[in-house]
This record gives sequence, C-alpha cells and structure tokens, in this order.
Amino acid sequence: MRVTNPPLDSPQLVDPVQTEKAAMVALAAESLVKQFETVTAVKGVSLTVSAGEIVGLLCPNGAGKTTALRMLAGILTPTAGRVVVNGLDLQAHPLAAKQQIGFLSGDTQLYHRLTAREVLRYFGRLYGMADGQLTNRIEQLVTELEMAAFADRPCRTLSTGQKQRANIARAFLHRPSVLMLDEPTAALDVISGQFIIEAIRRERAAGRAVLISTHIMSEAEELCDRIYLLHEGGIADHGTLAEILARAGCASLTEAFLRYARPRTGNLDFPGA
Amino acid sequence: MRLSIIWIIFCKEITEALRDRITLLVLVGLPLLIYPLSIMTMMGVTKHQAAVEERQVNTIAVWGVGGTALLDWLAPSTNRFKVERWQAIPASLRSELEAGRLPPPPPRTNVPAAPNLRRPGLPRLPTVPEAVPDDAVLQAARGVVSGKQADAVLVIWPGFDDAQQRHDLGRVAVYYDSILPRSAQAWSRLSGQLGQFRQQLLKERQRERGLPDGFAKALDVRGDDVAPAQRQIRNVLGQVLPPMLILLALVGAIVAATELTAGEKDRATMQTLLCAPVRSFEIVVGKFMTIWGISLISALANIIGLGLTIWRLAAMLHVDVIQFGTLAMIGGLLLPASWTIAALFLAVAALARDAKDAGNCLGATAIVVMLPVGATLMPGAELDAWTCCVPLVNLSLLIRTLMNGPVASHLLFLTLLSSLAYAGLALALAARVFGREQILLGGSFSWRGLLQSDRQRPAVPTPGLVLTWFPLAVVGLFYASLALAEHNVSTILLVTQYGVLLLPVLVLAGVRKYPLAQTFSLHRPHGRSIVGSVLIGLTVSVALAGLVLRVAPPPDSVLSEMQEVMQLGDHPAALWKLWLVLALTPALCEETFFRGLMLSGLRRWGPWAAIGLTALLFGLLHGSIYRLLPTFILGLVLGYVVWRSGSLYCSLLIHALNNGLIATLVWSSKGQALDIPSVPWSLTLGALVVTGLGVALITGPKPPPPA
Repeated sequence: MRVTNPPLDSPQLVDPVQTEKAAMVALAAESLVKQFETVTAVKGVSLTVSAGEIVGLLCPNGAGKTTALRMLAGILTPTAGRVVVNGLDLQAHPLAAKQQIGFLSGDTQLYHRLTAREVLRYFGRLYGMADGQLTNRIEQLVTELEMAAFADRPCRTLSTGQKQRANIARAFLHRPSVLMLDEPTAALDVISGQFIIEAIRRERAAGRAVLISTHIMSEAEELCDRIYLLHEGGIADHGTLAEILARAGCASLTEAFLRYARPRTGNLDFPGA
Repeated sequence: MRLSIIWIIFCKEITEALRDRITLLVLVGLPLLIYPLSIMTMMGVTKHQAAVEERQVNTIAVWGVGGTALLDWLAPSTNRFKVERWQAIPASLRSELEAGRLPPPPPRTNVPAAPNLRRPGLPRLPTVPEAVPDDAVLQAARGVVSGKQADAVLVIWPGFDDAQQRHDLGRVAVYYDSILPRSAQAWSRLSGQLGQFRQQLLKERQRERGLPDGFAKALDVRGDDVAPAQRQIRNVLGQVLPPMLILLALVGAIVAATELTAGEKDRATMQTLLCAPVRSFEIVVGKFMTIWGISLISALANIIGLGLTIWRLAAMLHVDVIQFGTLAMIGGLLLPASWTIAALFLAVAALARDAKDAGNCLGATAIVVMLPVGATLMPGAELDAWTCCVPLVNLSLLIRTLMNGPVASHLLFLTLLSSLAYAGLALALAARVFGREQILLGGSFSWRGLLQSDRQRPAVPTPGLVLTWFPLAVVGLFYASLALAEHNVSTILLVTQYGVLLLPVLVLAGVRKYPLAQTFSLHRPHGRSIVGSVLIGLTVSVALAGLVLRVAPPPDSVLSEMQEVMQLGDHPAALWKLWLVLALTPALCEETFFRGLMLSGLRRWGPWAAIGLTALLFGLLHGSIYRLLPTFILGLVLGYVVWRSGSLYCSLLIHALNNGLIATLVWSSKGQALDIPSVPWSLTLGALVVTGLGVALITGPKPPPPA
C-alpha cells in the first residue's frame, strides 16, 4: 500500500487547510530522482514543508534519506525533479536559494583548529552577513545555546554535545527560513538531545520550516507536525501521526514503521525506537 | 567568481593551517635549523678528520733487498711514515726475495689515454683498474694490508740497486687497499714521496751527463682554470639547488593539499561548505591560493635557511658565492613553480577518498613530477625553446641559468607564460573535480565520472571552458611552431593559425552545437560602425607605434626579427601573399578565437572583465614581452568594438587593415631597417585623433546586441 505524495499542482490539493498551507510552503521537492552509476538511490520523492512546521523524515538506513537531504540542500544535483525554496528553483538560483537553507548533519565535524566563535564568523561571512550584524547574532546564539563556556576553545577540544551545539548555531546563524536537520540528536545524551529539541521548537515558533530526519521514534512522535516514511528510495506513507497510525492500524509509530519497512527488506538494519 | 568569498576562504584556510604547530615546524622551523646545523656540523667533522689524518703516521712494510737510497729519502718524514723492513712477510717469500729469485712482474703496457670526452659538470665515474694477476706477493701483501699489520707494502724488486747503478729502470711496487682510509692515505703520501724521489734521480742523471734540466720532461704543460672559484661553486649550486627547491615546495604543497581536501572530506565539513551559498570554483580558487601560499612559505623558509648557510660558508671561504639579488629572483621564480604544483596537487588530492589515500596519490604524483626535474641535474640540459615549455623543468633550468648569469628575456617570458598555462590547466582539472559531487563527498572515484560531460550543457561557452581552452591553445601553438621549425615562415604561420587557433574552435562550436551567430557575434554591423572600423584599422598601428614604442622601445634584434617574419623569410615576397598570410589569416583566426569564443565565454563577467581579460590573453599569445603592451591595447580596442557593435566583422576589418598596412610598410622598405620608434609626435597625435573618432563612431547594430 504505497501512498505517493501528490505534487504541488495536483488537483487533490483542494482541502482548504491544505491550500492554506500550500500558500506558505517554504520547501517543496517535486519528484526527486537520483541515479548513481548503477543504483537509483532516490526514486521520485515529493514532499513539502511549510513555514512554522516541523516535518519528520523517517526511514531505515540505506533508504536514500541522506541522498534526498543532500539534494534538498543543494549539495547533490538531482537526476530528475526539482527543489523549490520559497519559490526559488534551487538549481536555477543556487546561491539565492542556499542563502535560505540551514543544513545540519549529525556526522558533521567542525574545523579542529578554529574556535566555535571563529567557525560561526567564517560561515556568517560566507553567507554575506555584515560584520556588526554578525557579531550581534553570534553573541545571541552563544547566549541562547549556552555556549559561552566553550565558544573560544578550539573545536577539537569540545565534547560531542558541545560540538553539536556549535553546529546547530552554525545552521541557525544566518536566520534561514528552511532548516534541514539530519539526525541532529544522534550520539547525544538525553540532556544534550533535549536541549537541541527545545532549540528546534523555538525555531518553529519563530516561523521557520523544519525538516528533520531521525531514527528515534519517540522524538518524531513528540516533535513532528507531519511525518514522511521513506522506504527504498520512495515515500511509503505520509501525514500526521494520527493519520499514519490510523492507516497502518497500529498503536505506535514504531509498529507502523516496521509494518512498512519489514516485508520488503526482510533482514533490516534497524536501530529501532 | 566573487573575490570577497575567495578571500574569506583563503583567510580561514591559512589561519587553520598555520595553527598546526607540527606543520609549521616541519615546513618552516626545520629548514631554518637543519641547513645551518647540518652543514656546520659536516664542516666541523670534516675539519676534525683532516686534523686527525694529518697527525696519522702510516706504517710501511718494506719487502726486498737494497733500495737504501730510496729508504733514506723517506727517512726524514718520520711524522708521516714508519718504515718497517720485512714486516709480516711470510718466510718463504722473504727467502725468495733475498735470494733474488723472484722476478718483478712484467711492466704495465702503456695504454694510450682515451681522448677526454668528459663534459663539463659530469661527475667522473671511478674507472675499474686493470685486473692485477694474482701472485704470491700480491696475496701476501693483501693479507698484511687487510689485516692492518701495515698500511701499505712497498716491495723493492730484486736487482733494484744494480739497475740504479746502471742508470736503468729501478722497479718497486706499492700494495695498498683503496677501501681502507689509512691505506689510501699511505698510498697517496707514498706516491708523492716516490715521485719526488724519481725527480731527484732524473736531475742527478741529467747533471752527470751534462744534459739540460728539461731533457727528460721535454714539455711542460700547465692547465689553468680561468673560472673564478665563486663561479665554480655557483655552478655546482646551480645544478643542485633548483631541483631541491622544487622538491621542498612539493613537500609543503603535499601537506597543505591533503589537509584542505581529503582532510575536509574525512571530517565531513566539505558538505557544510557546499551547503553555503558559495560556488565550487570559488572554493577551488580559495583552496588553491592557500596551498600555493603554504608551499611558498615552506620554499621561502628553505631559501632563507639555505641562503644564510651559503653566506656563512662563503664568508668562511672568502668567496662571494651568490648575490642577494639573485637569491631574491630565485625566490620570485618560486611563485610560478609553486603555483603549478599547488594547482596540480589540489586536483589530485581532491580525487582522493581520504587523507591516507591522498597521501599515497600525492606521493606518487610527486615522484612523477620530480623525475624530469631531477633529470635537469644532467649536464647538457639547458633552457631553450623546447625545455622552457616543460612544466617545472623549465623553472628548474631557469633558476640554474640565472645563477650563472643573465637569462634571455624571451626564454624568461616563455617560461612564465607556459607555467601560467599549465597552472591554468591544473586548476581547470581541480575545478572539474570539485564539480563532481560524488568525488567531492568521498564517493568512489571513476575516470568516467570525471571525464563525462555535464548533463546540461550550456548553450554558450562558459568562462571555465574558454579559460581552459586558452592554455591548451598556447601549448599547442608552442609545440606546433617548434615542430615546424624547419619549414618557412608562411607555412608555420598558416598551419598554426588555421590548425591551432581556428579549426579547433570551429570543431568545438560544432560538437557543442553553439549558436554561431550569438557565440561569434556574427551580426551585420551598422554602417557607422563600418566607417569607424576602417578609420581605426588605418590609423591604430601608427598611434600604437608612436605611443608604445616610445615608452618601451624593443631592442633592435627584436625589430629586425619581426621585420624578417613580416617579409616571410629572406626573399622578398609578393604583396598579395603578405596580405594573405599576415593580414587576412590572423584577422580571421585570431578574431574568431579571441573576440569570438573568448569574449562570448567571458561575457557573463561583464564588459570590463571580458574585454580586459580577452585583450590580456591576446597580448600574451603574441609570446613576446615587447609586443605585450601594443597587442594588449589593440586587443582592448578590438574587444570594445565587438562588444559595442555586436559584430565580429568590424574587428576582422580592423585587424586585417592594421596588419596589412604594417606588412605593406615593411614590404615597401625593401629590406631596409625601419625606424619605427621615431614616428613624429604630430603623426602620432593625428593617428590617435582619427582612431578616437573611429571608436566614437562605433555603434550598436539595428537589433540590440546579445547581452
């Protein structure tokens, strides 16, 4: 029972709530396909994220999530389909579109020999922020994300949690309207993880569109307004938590997830909830 | 390409690199320490050894009867020899010698010396001595010398004293072991003493017979090396130093290139950078500049370390080995050397999966690069039209030539130009690697992925394409004209113009399906533009000659060489042929290349950059520093005309008229030297006014030019 997500201009979008949301769509992917030499990693993924909304992207390892996110962030060029950020085609206007994206990946390190503050300054300048504005913004983030104790230490000396906070600050720095967070809480302890979750909630409250991928089902249940289940390079189901549970006839997201994922792949490398 | 972004990336990368203490220590600290320390230590050790050797006394075992006069001659040198008769001789051998039964070995036949084929600078290989037949004496002597019972064995063959009395040939032999330092020293001292003894004997014999002093010697030949000691030292330095400096620049580049590409892949920071609103070419250039800078810092640290050491040495030896100016010029030449290396290494390192892989790839590349550079150590390798187009080899040879004296300016220019071209190619390769997303994100590398063309090919040439195309054309031109060097001037000109400039551009446009009218500005010009072009074409050469040649007059040799080219060789050529080869052909080929392909490729950078860069490359292509300025200005005019009029026909007209008029002028001079620099001011100003009027007349075509 594969449910494909309708493209933006589909006549199915007549639901008044949906139409209202479509008007505020900040990030839209239209039938994204990515073909590597012999493998098709992503087979026609369409999704939308509206302003002030957190959308979860759940999938087993190797289902094409990283590739899809990299296409959405403009790091990879899609073989077919397109990405639209606030009305800007990412491929046609890469610089202007990237200006509105904040990307964070769980495995991203920082520059070892720069301090957290220097890393922020470097990226701020690359994003074209003026010096004074940049200094103020960095101070604001250092306070908000409680980084004062380590902001002036070289990044190689930071703990995993501290590094991830600096990374979050880097993604939030230029006030992007779209945030793409790839497993932002992976490898973090509960306290650090919760800290980051709170920061993401604040960004939603500020009206940003957030696309988050995670393997932690409870986190997705708690945080996401809508959820996309990605499987074998395509969208297996999407909707609010309640809609997905109802369609799958399951009590928890974990069960629903297993139901979609298991029959196809058999022996699944699955971290679980 | 935004310079501000490149600068931001450069600043960050260099800050990070210079904070790495180990890199800094290896690249800067070590060279500043290691040269003075190692050379001073070496000198100290050598001095000490010489003193020790001087104090050594060699034990000489003397086997044989008689030879008292000889031993008396050696006797006063007690501080050098300790003579021990019959030392360590086997009893049987002693009795044989005492009984006079042991005949001396037959004298060595005097092989005529081979003519001296040694080329200057070639180190002489040690010659293998003729095999000495093994006999009892030799075996015994070998045992004594190898067993260090004596440093050498001096055998006085039976009948020595008799022969001396008869004024015949007295025969002795010295057995020594060249591998043992003490034994070699004994041989060297002993042969000197025996030589003096021989001289003494000759003098006595000549005196006894009333013969003049020069009777036996007959001819006194004295060879004097007129090269002062400092030049000899400089020559040795000139051979060793350039490859070493290039090697050291390589070391710095390896460290930096690995860190900046593969290191960033390892830490997954590359994808963060790619998320930022930054073009991949800007990242490439920023990183290239960093690698260049670090490679330069390391090479300069080496030059300083080495320079200080050489100066110290020179002061000790009381010779002036190398001037500060020469050292500064060598430092300056490291700029192009390290930019070629930096661009190449950036491209190679970007291909690597991780830092370890990058280390391996760069190591292999360094060996491939160093092989030809190392070959410049061979004598006979000299800077000429061929070698100055071989990357890095040219710079190595240039540094060597510089150390021995001045360098011909055209070779200097060609070397720099070809270095720039190779760096451009390497940088284009690096940019291509950075454009391949899979390679950049640490995916597997495949040549197909690297070489396959972009999925969506732009409809018009891009700056990247034309900036790669230009160095290729430069390299092609050099090698084509060198390969055709035996042919006459018109063949060379026609083949290079049509074959290297025009044809490949047409093939490219055909293969890539560029819209011809848009790419090559093939629009019908406005009537005013045609009139303007004719005015410019008729006067611009006079204006340029009057202005530029006053400011920077070329030497007579360049003028006469150009005049020879303009007459298509020695024989006076027909005027129509001059116009065909020198005016119409260059106008067609060069205009299609520069104001066609290059200008439209650079169009998106705006008129200033597009016209300026096209003109600069146009000037550089003329391959002579004296022609750079006039051709650059002509290029500016031609670029402006095409940009404004939207028509390549205008620049064709100007170029053909300009070249044709100069050719006609040379033709009419019938081989007499032209006095171009003395164009009177009045004529210059008049020509300038008319050219200016022509430029002002240029106007856009009826349909607006493609923007």
